[in-house]
Amino acid sequence: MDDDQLMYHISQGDKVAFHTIYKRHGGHLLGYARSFLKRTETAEEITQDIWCKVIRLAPSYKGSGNFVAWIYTLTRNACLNQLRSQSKLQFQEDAGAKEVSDADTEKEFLQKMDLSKLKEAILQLPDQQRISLLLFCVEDMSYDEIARELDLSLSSVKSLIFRARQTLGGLK
Amino acid sequence: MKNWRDLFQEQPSQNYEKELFAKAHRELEALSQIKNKKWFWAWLGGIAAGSLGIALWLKNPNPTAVDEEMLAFSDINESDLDLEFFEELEMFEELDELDQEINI
Repeated sequence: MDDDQLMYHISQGDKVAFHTIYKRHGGHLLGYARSFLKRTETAEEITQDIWCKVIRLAPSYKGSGNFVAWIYTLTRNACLNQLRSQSKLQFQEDAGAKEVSDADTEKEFLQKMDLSKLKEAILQLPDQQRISLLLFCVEDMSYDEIARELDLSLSSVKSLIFRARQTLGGLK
Repeated sequence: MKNWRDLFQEQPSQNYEKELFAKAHRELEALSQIKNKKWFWAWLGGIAAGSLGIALWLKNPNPTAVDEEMLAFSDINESDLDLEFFEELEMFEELDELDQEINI
């Protein structure tokens, strides 16, 4: 049964359907929220709220076949709101944005990195770099989309991702 | 090709899942209740409509007779209304004339 079918059953109050969809995406979503917030407790609270929201929105959910993108968007918005509400996240334009490369080069570089070390290294990055990189890699957003989401200029986004990649480059 | 979503995947703790399922089951039960209420009102509406139909049929088992009566009734009403309309029109004309006399 695909995600859209499970969502229909959830809208009818089906607990088995909820358990199935949770088992499919629960661990991914929790990990994604934790990589945003860096705090397990907050990530757990937020993802629990998101799952409850998924149930409440199930009757009006339009089966577009892209449940994963939808649930990741819910998570991203909740995490960004959480960080903004705590004033922990203040995106600032990067005045020193000079050295940048294109998106394909960045992705190619990141693909070659050692998987085991990568996750922890990303979690150590400064907030702005980490979040830009997560949107770029995990949600596959373009520089343009990231700039709009974080209310930054395109050059700042390019620079943030470039700097993140430079930092991660030391892992090699 | 790296799957970035898999890279960040974590194993949720038992405590986390216990709390989540408790919350989720409450939400799911609320959804079930809404669904059951909808069924109940649809069922009640069906019973009411059926009862009304039966009552009307018992009152007049021959619906054609009802139609004819209704048609006859509507004809009378229509002509009455027309008469009333013309009477009112005349009354307004008289009032206009009176107004003009007062102004003179």
